[in-house]
Formats: sequence, structure tokens, C-alpha cells
Amino acid sequence: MSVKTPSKLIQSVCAAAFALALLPFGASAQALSPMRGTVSSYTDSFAVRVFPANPYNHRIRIEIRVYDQDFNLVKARVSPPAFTLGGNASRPVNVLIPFDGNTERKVRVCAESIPFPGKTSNIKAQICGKFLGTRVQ
Amino acid sequence: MNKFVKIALASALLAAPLPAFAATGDVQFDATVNNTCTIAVGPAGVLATNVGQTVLSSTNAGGQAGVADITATSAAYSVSVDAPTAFATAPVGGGTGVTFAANYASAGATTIATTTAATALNTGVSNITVNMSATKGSGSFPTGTYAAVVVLRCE
Repeated sequence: MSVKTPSKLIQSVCAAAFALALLPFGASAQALSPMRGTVSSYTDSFAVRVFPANPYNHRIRIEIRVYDQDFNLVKARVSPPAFTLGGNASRPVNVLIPFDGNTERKVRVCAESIPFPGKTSNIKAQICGKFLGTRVQ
Repeated sequence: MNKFVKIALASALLAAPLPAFAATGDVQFDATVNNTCTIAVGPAGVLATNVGQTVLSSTNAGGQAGVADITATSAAYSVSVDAPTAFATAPVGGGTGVTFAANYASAGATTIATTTAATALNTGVSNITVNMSATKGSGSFPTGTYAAVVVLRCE
């Protein structure tokens, strides 16, 4: 029975562990605007329209999520919540956020990258716009 | 003769070129410029083990940091990272009792020394370097393929 030297053992483990494929630069890129906003609403919810953009030449997959100030997910109606954007494209996304009984609510509307199947990346891009909704009594 | 003069005058008036009325019109162009933040993720990082196979880290020998460029059109934004809470991919037992950590540094438009805290961005392109590590609380990492995701945020 052969005994592996420490260096060979480390090499084999390193080879097995984290065999992440290198992605071409810019494989996952996204932008969001506007990044700030204040909305007044007479109803029990307020609406925000954001424009995620793909500034590069290849398509990307984007998901829109809404978080509160502590990064807890907010049950907001996002339309559409996930989509593919072509190169140099942008599209509007409507977000309807409930006040949940409060007179005002601060939320983050975030555009997050979704890696395509079969590709791995150890950085997930997240761009968050901060919005304040105020309920008019 | 008098009739002839009248006809000649009328013909001359008709033949005279009409005055050119110069008209101007305004063509309006509108634009709304919103400040924005763009993240372009570059090559994925690589984790490597330490000698005791208790730590997987991008700063270990053979490891590689992940990189990304953040373009900010306003100085009102900040950058931060969230360490993973679990492996996205791991062999059986590989994710048990593991503590994750992540940090970043920046060059370019914004110079940031290695930190874990949220930091304000300057306007322009900031070159972000992200490192992460996973530390096994007891025992060593079993052989297999591991994957983890660090969230890089601009807000």
C-alpha cells in the first residue's frame, strides 16, 4: 500500500476541491436605475418602477427581489420577478410594496444576477435601490 | 395702349417671384439621466485548502480571489459583501460545522483596504477584489467539489 506524501495529498484535494470554471470577464453584469426614490401613496401599498439594464453584449438573467432595511425579504408584487435581458437592453419592472400597516416603509429593490445553468461563479452581483414609501392619510 | 399697360403690369406682378417666407421650428430632445450602479463580475475565484485541510480559502496557496468592477455614476452609493451561509455544492459532510467569511478590497476610482464593512464608493470604476474562506470547526474537509457564492452589493 502506497502512502501519499503531504504535497501530493494537498494537490489531489486542491484539484478536487473548488474546481470552478473561469468565466469570461463580464460574464455577469447588471445595472439598476433609479437607485433612490420617495413615493407617496393614498392606498395601503406603493408602487415603484425600476429599470434593470444589461450594459454588455451578451444576455444575462436577472431576478428582482425586495428587502427591508434588515435584508429580510418583503412580500412585494414584482412584475416580472425574473427575466432574461439581451445585450445593451433595459426593461421596466413594476414593484408593488405593501405598507403592512405602517405609515411609511423603507425598502431595497434589488436586481440580482442569476448564473446560467452549467456555469458557476462565486460572486453574485446585487444592486439595490433604496426607496421610501409614505402613506398619505 | 392703356389696356396694354395694365396687362403688362399684371403680368409682371404675376411673374414676380414670391417672397420666401423663412420659417423656424424647434425640435426638442428630452432626456432623463438617472444615477446608476453597474456591477460586472469577472473571473470566478478559486478556493484552495491549507495543509491540514481544515480551511478552504482563496488566499491559500493555489487560491485565487474573485474580481468585479463596479461603476458608480454618483458618490452616493456603497459597496459591501455578504459571506455565504452554506456551500452551494459540497460532498456529504463537507458543509457541516463550517464557518464562512468574506472580505473585499478596491482599487481604481475607490481605494479600499481589505475590509468586511460597507464602504462608500467614489464616482467612476472601482476594481473590487473579493476573498472568502470556509473553516471546518472539527475534522477536515472531505474530498469532493465545493462551490460557494459571495454576494457583492452596490446600494
